[in-house]
Amino acid sequence: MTRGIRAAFVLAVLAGLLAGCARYTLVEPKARTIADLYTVEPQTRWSALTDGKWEVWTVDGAGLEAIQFLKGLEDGEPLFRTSDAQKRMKFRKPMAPSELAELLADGLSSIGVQNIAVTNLRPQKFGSADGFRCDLTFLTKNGLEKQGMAAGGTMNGRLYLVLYTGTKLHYYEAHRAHAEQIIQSIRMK
Amino acid sequence: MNGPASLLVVLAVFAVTACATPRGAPGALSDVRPAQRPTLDSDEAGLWMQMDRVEQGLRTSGHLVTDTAVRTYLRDILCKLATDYCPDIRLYVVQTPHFNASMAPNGVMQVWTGLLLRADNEAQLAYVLGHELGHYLRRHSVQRWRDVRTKTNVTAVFTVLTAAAGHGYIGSLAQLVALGSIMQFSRDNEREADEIGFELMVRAGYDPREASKVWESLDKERRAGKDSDPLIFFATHPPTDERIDTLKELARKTYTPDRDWTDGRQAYLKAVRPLRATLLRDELRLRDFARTQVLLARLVAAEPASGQLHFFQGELYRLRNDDGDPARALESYERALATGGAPPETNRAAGLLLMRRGEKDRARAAFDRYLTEAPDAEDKSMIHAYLEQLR
Amino acid sequence: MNPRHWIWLLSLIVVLSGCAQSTALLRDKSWQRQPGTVRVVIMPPDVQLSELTAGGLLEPKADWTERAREHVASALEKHLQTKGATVVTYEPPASGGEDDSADVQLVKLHDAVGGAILVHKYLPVLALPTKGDRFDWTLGAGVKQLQARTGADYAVFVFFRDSYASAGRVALIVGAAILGVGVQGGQQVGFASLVDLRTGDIVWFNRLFNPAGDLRTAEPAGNAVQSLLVQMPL
Repeated sequence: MTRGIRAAFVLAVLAGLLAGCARYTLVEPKARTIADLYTVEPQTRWSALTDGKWEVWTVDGAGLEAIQFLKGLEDGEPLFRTSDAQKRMKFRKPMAPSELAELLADGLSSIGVQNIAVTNLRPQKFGSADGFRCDLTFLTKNGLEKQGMAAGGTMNGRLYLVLYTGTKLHYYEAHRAHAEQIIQSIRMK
Repeated sequence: MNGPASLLVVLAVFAVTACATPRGAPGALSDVRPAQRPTLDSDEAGLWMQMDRVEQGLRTSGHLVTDTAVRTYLRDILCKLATDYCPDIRLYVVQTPHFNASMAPNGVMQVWTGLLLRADNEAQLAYVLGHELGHYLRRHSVQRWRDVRTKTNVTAVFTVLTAAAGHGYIGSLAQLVALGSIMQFSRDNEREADEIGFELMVRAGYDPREASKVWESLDKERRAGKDSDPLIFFATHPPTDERIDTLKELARKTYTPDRDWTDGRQAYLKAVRPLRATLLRDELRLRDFARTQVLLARLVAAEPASGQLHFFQGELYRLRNDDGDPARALESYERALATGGAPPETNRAAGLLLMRRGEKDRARAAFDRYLTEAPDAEDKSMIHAYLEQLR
Repeated sequence: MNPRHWIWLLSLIVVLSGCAQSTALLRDKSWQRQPGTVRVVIMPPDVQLSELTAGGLLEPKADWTERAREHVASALEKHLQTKGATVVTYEPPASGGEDDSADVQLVKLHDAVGGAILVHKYLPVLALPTKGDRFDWTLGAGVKQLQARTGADYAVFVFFRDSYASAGRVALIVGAAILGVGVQGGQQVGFASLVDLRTGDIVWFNRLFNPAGDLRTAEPAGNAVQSLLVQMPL
């Protein structure tokens, strides 16, 4: 194989490997619209990536800490498009917050999260919805302890969630206040 | 004859029968001796190392049942069966909702909580532990490894070993299988382990007629769940009618009404009941409803007066949410509350269903009862919000 | 992260960033170690070696791994000593204790942080705009108990794996055929961090991808450690 052909092969393989890999873009500390429905006002900079119905923001890497926005789940859809999505719990319009928290736990276990505990479920406005807040603890597949908090609600028959998670050691706490401030800044557009 | 000596006799008998029957390939392995360790340059040491790693991961995984009562209970049964080998075996109770127990060559025995949910009594549990001990005593892992290596029939073991090498030891189902049985034992190995397990339980005085029942109930679940994932256990322990028949035949020969056999059901229930709500929650999380229904029907049949079991039947319907399921769920919750012993969540679950149906008064009453029974519930402010909406 | 994914990731990274480049990352170019004699604790090197048999079987080798672990540890120790550091032996706390689990969590956090660094620092397409040129990952204040127990100023975390994976192996073989990169059995990958135990900050990080490496014998193992620790600012 000549050098040129080999280089072409390399490029083709790399293009294949990286197809579908969107790049991270910068989120500036100013008002930003989510799902064309509401705005948030982050006070710090984040790196953002869109993955299907989820928009993921992180500072140090999504495995360490991330705030994720679920941008309107339709009736009948599972939380994550996993291979076993068909048998997972589906979102239904009339679900009460207790059931939405259950949906969240089921969705997380579908992506390999272990030993999930949902605590402190409480009512809180989410945009125009009578939404909820809750806290989470869980383990990764590797047994690393993580924590999380979630806010969400159903608007126009669709489910909107904000989920902040991070490693129990350092990263969750490092950006928790910023994540909390983002949740508090939610305003309908 | 005292314990250890008779155990050696049992093994000697099997060693003889093993030689009398033509076996697959290697076979020429002596049984493991108490406190025996492999030499460092052997392939067996490699397997031990692998399992030492898995064990280290297991210890720090956060997936172990920490309840001392149930661990002590299992340990005592194990030692009753294993006698001299007891100190060589480290027993771990792993919180995972599949029926399985496994034995690694380095003496790590895992009992999965799915087994504790399913065994009817101590005798059945003892039989399964005895079966796993059989694998250990006869060093089936090493046998199997050598056998497979010589045949280069590699796929299964390769998959299993690479998976077992993983950090994510409790990740995918494939990894669970890998962990559960570092390799797929051959049918001969299984038969041998069945016989040893049976022999050990009988020696400990457990009713020999219980052994075959384990496979029978498991087989029923497997048939029900045929549209979904197969039961993990069957990936490594093919249940054949032949196995059931063999155990029944052994029981027929062994059982005599004059001896004082025990099935240990009361002690078993006492040890396992405190865990049962957690185990049923885990089971429902798998969302393999057809199979869970068979299991629950069996549990309810054995304990019709358990409000807890009726509650979980309701939970199954509520989570499955097929046509007519909400009504079925509500019926089960009502039965649970009428039976007694139902957990406080029964009222919350009923309240949510009633709220969705627009039956405000009944929903309010259910939520009120929930808060009365669980005044410090984690979600009490949410329930107050529901009550506000229902006003 | 699962080793299968590690292999994938590392092979992707080596393809994208090239083998021969200098690859170490420094928190701060002007960073200097604390004055005086520094005490460094070597966390148990996370090493595992296997043999790929002719049929494609992967056989874990206890004796190799044992040897490799010793070689890596002693090469680490020697390297640190030539830098004038006092090496503190890591003693695991009493089994099952709270410290035990805290140490384990720390190592697992290091795994996760190392994964994030590999993805976001060595793969330009996945670079985080929030990071830019900065290299400021940390293990956080959780290191303090380790500091208190060992009295060390710094900790070195080392991770070595060879090619385990089924999926990863297939990928490597296919990749090798196309790319003309020779991939035989024991592919060696690894990374290391130097952590400041006062702050938990990772002050230095490096990764190694050395297909010819052999950790089973002292000399190549020493070389592997050398090339991994090259430019470590101690």
